Amino acid sequence: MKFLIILFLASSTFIYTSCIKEINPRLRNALPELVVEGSISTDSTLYNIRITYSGQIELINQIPDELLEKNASVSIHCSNGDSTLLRYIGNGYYETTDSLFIGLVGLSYWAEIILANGKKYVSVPEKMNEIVPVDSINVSFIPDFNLEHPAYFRAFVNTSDPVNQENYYKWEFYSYTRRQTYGVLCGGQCVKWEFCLQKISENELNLFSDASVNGNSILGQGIGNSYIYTYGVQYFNVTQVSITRNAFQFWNSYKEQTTRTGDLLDPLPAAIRGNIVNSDDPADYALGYFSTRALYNKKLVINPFHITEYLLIISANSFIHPEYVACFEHFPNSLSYGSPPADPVPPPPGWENADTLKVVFTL
Amino acid sequence: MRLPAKLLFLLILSLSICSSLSSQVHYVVKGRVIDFDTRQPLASASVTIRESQSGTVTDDSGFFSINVYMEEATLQINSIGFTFYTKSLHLKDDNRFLNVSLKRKANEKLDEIVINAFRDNAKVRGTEMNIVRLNPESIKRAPLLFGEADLIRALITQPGVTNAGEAAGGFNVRGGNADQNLVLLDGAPLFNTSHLLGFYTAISPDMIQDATLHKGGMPAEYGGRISSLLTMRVKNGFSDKMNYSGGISPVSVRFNASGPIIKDKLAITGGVRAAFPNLILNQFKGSYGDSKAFFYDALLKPEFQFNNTTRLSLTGYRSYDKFRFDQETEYEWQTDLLSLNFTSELSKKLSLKINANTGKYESSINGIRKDYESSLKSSISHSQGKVQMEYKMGEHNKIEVGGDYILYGISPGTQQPTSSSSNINFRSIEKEQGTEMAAFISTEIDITSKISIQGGLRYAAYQYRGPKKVYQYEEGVPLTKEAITDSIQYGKNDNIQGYAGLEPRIALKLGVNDDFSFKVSYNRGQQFLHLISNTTAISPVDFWKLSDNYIRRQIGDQFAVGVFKNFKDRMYELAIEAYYKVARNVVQYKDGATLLLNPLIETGLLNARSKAYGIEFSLSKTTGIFTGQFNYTYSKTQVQVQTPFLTEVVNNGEYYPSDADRPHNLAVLTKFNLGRGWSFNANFIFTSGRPATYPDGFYAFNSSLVTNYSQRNRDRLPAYHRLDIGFSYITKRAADQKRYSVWNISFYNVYMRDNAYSIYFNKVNNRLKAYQLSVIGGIIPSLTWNFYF
Repeated sequence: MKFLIILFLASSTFIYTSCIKEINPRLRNALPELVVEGSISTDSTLYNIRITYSGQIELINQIPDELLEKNASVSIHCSNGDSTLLRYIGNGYYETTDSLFIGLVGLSYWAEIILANGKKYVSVPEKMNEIVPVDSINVSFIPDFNLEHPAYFRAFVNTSDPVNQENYYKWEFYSYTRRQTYGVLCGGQCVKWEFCLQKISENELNLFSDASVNGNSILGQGIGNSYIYTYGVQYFNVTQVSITRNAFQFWNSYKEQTTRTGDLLDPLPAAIRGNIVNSDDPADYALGYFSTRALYNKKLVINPFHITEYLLIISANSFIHPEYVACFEHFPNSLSYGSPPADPVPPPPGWENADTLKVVFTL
Repeated sequence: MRLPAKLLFLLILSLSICSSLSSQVHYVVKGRVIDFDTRQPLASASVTIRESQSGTVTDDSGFFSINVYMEEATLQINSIGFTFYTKSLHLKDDNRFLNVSLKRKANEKLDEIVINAFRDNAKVRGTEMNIVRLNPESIKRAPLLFGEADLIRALITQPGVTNAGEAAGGFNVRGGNADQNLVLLDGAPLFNTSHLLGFYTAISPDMIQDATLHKGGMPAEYGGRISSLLTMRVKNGFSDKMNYSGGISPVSVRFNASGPIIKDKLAITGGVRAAFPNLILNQFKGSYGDSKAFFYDALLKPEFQFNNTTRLSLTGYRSYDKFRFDQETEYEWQTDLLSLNFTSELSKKLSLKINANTGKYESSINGIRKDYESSLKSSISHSQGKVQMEYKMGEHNKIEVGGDYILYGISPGTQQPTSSSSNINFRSIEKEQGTEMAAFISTEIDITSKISIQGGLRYAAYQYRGPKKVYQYEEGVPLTKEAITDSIQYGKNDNIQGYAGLEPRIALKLGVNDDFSFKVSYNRGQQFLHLISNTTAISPVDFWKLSDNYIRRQIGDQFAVGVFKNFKDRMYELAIEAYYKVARNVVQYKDGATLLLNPLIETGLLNARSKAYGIEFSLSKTTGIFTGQFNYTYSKTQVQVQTPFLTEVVNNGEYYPSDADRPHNLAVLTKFNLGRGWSFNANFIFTSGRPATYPDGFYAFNSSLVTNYSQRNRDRLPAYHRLDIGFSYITKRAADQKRYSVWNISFYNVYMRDNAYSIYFNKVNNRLKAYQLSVIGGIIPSLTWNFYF
């Protein structure tokens, strides 16, 4: 008995239960499938449709040339009879040329793609929904940090849901946050281009259906983070997108399939069925989606206030790049104005008249 | 409605005819056989009259009744592991009711093998096949996971029985889905068999006298599921005095009491198990790591014995689980049931059984996030009345007739706010009602001394009833919200959709001799209930659905053949069984379907057909210092979606492996009796990996790499295997010792195999990487103390 108890206790030191490990399963190679990604919105801008193929892609920004569709005829059509052609601009992207072709609430839109082999794919028409305005935006200081990221601000949206319609929401968020290098020495004590504003977008997918809350307030919907790499003002852009029920279901499937964790409550793996179909073969679906997007946009200037300094020192010091290089050159997607670039950096375009929000940290 | 009534009339008529055929005068000897040590009834003990070589077996409560055609006879009772009993009968003078207590053989005290403990030679001599029997008491001495003895974990070591993976709820029998198993506790169905998302069975083995799994060919008295029948019988409280038992494991504490309240009249059995598995959950990495859980189950069974032939019992059962998965969601599920059983021998030949049961299974997903506090509840309730009569015709033949009526009520989902500040609105999916009425007849006939036949016919009629709004869809296009053309509002109890059909069950035995037989069986079943689930294993987000205009009844047919052979005076038992089964209208799901709170659930579901075949090999050594089993199954299970619409076709309309397809299944179970109360167990399990869907390409979308899953279940997880060992020590030294302990020291997954529960893909630094999740990734030692007094 004593031996068994010793054995029992000794083996306890090897206990570990669930584990997750990286593996390299042998994957099958299926034939490439057409992928379409595009939208039309209520914003006055040029619209893009990207046409690629599925295949063995290792990095998102390194799609093999043979998986880019460069010779398609692409157009967007409206239920009022209007249409517009798109031109190829590279890397699989096609872009509208008519800046007056703008999405209008209440009308339906669809995309047509004719490939070089004559196959024609058409998206299921989508109605442009009503724009739903954002009531307010709250920002919280989150003092959690680790080796991968410093402390951060988290943005939350509050919206009043219209009672007389089905509403489906998708929120998009990006920010300009202050970054720092040792800058460029300019003689004596002079250092310039030490700070810059870097555009950060984590591509967090936030969806909501009003099925459970129709006509009520939608409160505290977290939509994105902006990291505090160094102390300073930040600039937030929040977009509340009204999408259709079909688009909501598509994005919901997309979210389920791209955030699987393999556990018991995981949905089974499945293809994400979009809305683009071969006009001659209803079983031939393209991957991806062409959607309508009714946009409400709000910009905010975030002014950190009384955020405890020592937290930022611990949190952010390791994120200051320790080289004498210009900040805007070191960090990708950074703003630089003029030639030579202005120092200090002015607010990004569009934020000149934005509201300012003071964010106070309290323990 | 008219047809079942006619059928019932014909059945009763046939019973009357049978009754008039036999009027020979003779003696009837009745009795009850119990285990001397545990005072529990011994089922399936062999009872024979030596002079005439006629015999019978004891029923589930240990009772028997045998015809004797002479005044002086010798009664013999035999049950494996027990001493042989013999008694001279002087029937003119003797009391014709015998209470028999069998003592265990000296070297087999509480050491009978865990599984397939057929105490008589039923495996070879009986007509039934496709059966697994469990002895729950012995499971406690086998290697355990986290110190908890578990019925279903023991079942899945048997040929033809698998599950979705470690800690997955439910079980699959011969390729069937988990919802195709009828699980009965004292006659009442359980709709959820899992605690802690599937780590444990919802019934503590402490409370169970025995459990029998029919892998096919279930008796005609049972219906409503097309894959298997698992019956669990709660312990009986009739004994000399109150007995208490309990146990403590790393997960739970248990306490049970059983004994007479009024001697030979009223007895009671009760028990409770409570578990606090947070310490274990906190060791888990990944999504389980921050989880909190609690569960309990409780059971109470008073039983009244009017006389030696008439008994009444009431079984009450509750199980409850709470599981907080993250900081926003909490899951709860609960089962309540009551089952009333009345049995009476009305005459020498005629006996009556009545069962009335009612139960409810409810699961709830609770939102606990501020401003969105809510509960989303779904439930299924079930009320059933069942009457059956058995008529004995001569020595070996009997006929059973009966009928049952079931009322189903399903609440597919109701969401409501749970705080005054919650922004969640009330939402509810219309409830469903259905009735199932069945009549059955079955018989067992020995055609010759070597050929026996067991035949049964069940007729089941089902009605989907109002109140309910039923949507009409445009013909020739897939069911979608946009294809709705009209709706019909049905009133209360209006018939909306009906299904009815005959279910033949037949088994034939050809006995070469007492130790060698061939058997063949065929059976059909219908199922009017479907578990709607979009996960691989049963989970608390699943809910039940009745057959309706669009979700048709499932129909299953199974053919099986078997060879059964005993060697060396039954020291070795060999069974080889092969089966082929097909099922129609199995539920499958459209990609991306919304299941929860969908009032148009039919738009997300597809009907499919499945086929399965396999061969099962089992060799058992039943006696001696070393006992064990070698079980191997080779099987294939495939499914094919049936749809006329190209847009709904899965895998090009071809058959593909179902989630339950695990071709190779090997279990080697061994037990060494080391003497002085010690025993050593070692179990090795090997199973083919579960079918899985791996991506067959990647594409760029939303500035991310996305996996494309174009082919369902075309891949397979790595094979599952593990070795468990355990030592067991019992302090009992004498057969009549009432106070003793059983210790179990187990090492689960000895060589620390990382068995894959799933494989998934995640984006890391813009690259997609594959990860394997293992629920149990290391050795799990445990120490359990069971006490008896």
